[in-house]
Amino acid sequence: MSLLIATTDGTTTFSDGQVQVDLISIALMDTGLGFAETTTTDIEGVTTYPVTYTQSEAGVTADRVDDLVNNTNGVPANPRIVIFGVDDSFVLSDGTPLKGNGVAIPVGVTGNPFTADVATFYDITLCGGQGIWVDAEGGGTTQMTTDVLLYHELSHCFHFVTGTTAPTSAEEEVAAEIDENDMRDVRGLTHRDVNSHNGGCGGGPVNCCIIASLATGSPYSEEINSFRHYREHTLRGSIVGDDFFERLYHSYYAFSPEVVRLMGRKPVLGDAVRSGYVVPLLGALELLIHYGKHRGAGVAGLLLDQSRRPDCRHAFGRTAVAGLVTQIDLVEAVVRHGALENVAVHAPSTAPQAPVEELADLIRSRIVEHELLQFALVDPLRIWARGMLEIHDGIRPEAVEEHVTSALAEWVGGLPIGEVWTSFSRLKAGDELVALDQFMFDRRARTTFGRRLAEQVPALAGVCTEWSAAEPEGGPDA
Amino acid sequence: MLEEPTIQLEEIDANLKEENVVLTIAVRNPTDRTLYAYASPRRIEYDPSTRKLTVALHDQHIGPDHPMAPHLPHPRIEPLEAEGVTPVAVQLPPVVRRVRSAAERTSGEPMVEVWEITEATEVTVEVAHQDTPYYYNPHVDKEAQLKRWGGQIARKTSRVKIVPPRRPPDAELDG
Repeated sequence: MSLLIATTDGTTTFSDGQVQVDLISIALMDTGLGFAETTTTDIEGVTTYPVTYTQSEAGVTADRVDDLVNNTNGVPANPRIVIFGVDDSFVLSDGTPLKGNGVAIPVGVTGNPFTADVATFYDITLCGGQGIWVDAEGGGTTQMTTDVLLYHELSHCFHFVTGTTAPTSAEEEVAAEIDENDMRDVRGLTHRDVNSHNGGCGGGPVNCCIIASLATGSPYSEEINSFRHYREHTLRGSIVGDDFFERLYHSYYAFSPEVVRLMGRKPVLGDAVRSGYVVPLLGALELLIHYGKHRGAGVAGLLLDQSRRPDCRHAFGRTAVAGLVTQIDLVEAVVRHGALENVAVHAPSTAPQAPVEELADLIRSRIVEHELLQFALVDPLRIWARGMLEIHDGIRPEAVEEHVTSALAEWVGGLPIGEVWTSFSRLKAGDELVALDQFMFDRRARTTFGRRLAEQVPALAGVCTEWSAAEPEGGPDA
Repeated sequence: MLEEPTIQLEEIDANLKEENVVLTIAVRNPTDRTLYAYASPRRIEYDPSTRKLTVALHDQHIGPDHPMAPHLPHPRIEPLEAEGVTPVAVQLPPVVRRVRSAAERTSGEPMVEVWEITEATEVTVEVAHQDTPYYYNPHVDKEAQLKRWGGQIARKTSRVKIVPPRRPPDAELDG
């Protein structure tokens, strides 16, 4: 019997009752699970009692309990595994709070209270009752339960005692999350995303995408989750992609808090920003993702589909889109000719003019000055709006497809080049260029970007020429 | 990214609210843009002999081999108004229970060291801050990205007396 539950160290008591409940759940309510509470063992001053198990229920999670309790499938009798159910007041030896978390500490690692046994602690209060979220498979978040949290930590313990710990802590975490999903199946919970180890207290991360969140009503709306997932898992997957977003955030957060404050003070702006900018921008982002995933095929079909969405009619209708095109043209005039006085923000006619003008001033002074904001937030909107207008005007889909894909190829070839490129060896630069293939598959984009990069970083001229001439890796998603 | 500590911690107020210790830190952002700060306690240290409490709102103490490194919780991030003072509230349990490591327990101390932090008379707070909010990147080790984001830290030590919130007199309640 090498799975034990801690009850007290003589001065502090631990929540063994909740540990029992969670183990019963993990063992699929198997009546063969027992707790020998009177057969206590003192382990370095901690009172424990063993878990017993005669398995009769079939299932992966029950099998794991059987292995840990009865030392099967390579689980040795020593080291033993001691489970501590704790509340949110506990900290590790270095002062790191356990609130909203669990931890498994192998033998010999600093912080383990035992010299020869594995210790695992988990917060049975789930962050003092706030709950714990983790990233869900496919985007969004899913909640943690105490039995799932314990099963996750027992997975680490299993790896420690069987000598099957993954080479890196990140890989070990993936292995535990894969196991965790078995327990999520038992509980009927959404799978965790095993390639993302984000999580925390409450319902989800709340400090992001604040304008879009305000405009769509929730930071967890389906559309926001979908774009967040694409950004985190695809676009930020390379050094260049990560650097791009870091610089974009720097520019974006120089003005977005002021927009949020304006929206808070003048609620009418919420509608103006939502229908006049955010909803069209979400449409444009959908277009960009489709363009990358399908190598440009079917963009006219997507625009046609968007134009028919009843819930977006106010923002995707011809009048609204025509107004948007006019406004973007004016912004472009500002960029090209400095005609600041001509810029205004498209807004519903019922909106009072003053706050809209205040917002226009803000945008005028901030967005047009930043190359990255222009590239990421204005140019895609222009391409989308012009394509959408052509759809409304009955232009043939083949022609719309050609116009939009040409514009996107030109746009993506103009990707701002950051200083990070100067830090790359030719080999690394080659890898980073290949990572761009997901969007720069069009010959025009590759030629333009390769030429620009070679001009700005002459040391990479050779690799740019090779990449521009090569066929892009991968292909359109099915 | 910020290249040096930019914010100033002006005051630290400590009170008991609903059975928790709440540290309220007045944070001055002298810049003309909104900055962002950790608002989650990530390390709590207390010395009962001197009654000094240290609360770190950053993850600089977490190395890649720390058992918590892969699943550090997403920190709560508080926006700090440009050219203004923002109160940042941090909630702590009144009693903190520290798990002693095996190496510390050679003379038979209990595994758990109990800290009554309401008895603290001096508090040091360390606050990580940055010019954008923190965005998790699944392609980078979590502790590494959190340490990079929170590389700039402002510190302040204050004398405190942790007292329960004052209740209005009965007459005010009646009126």
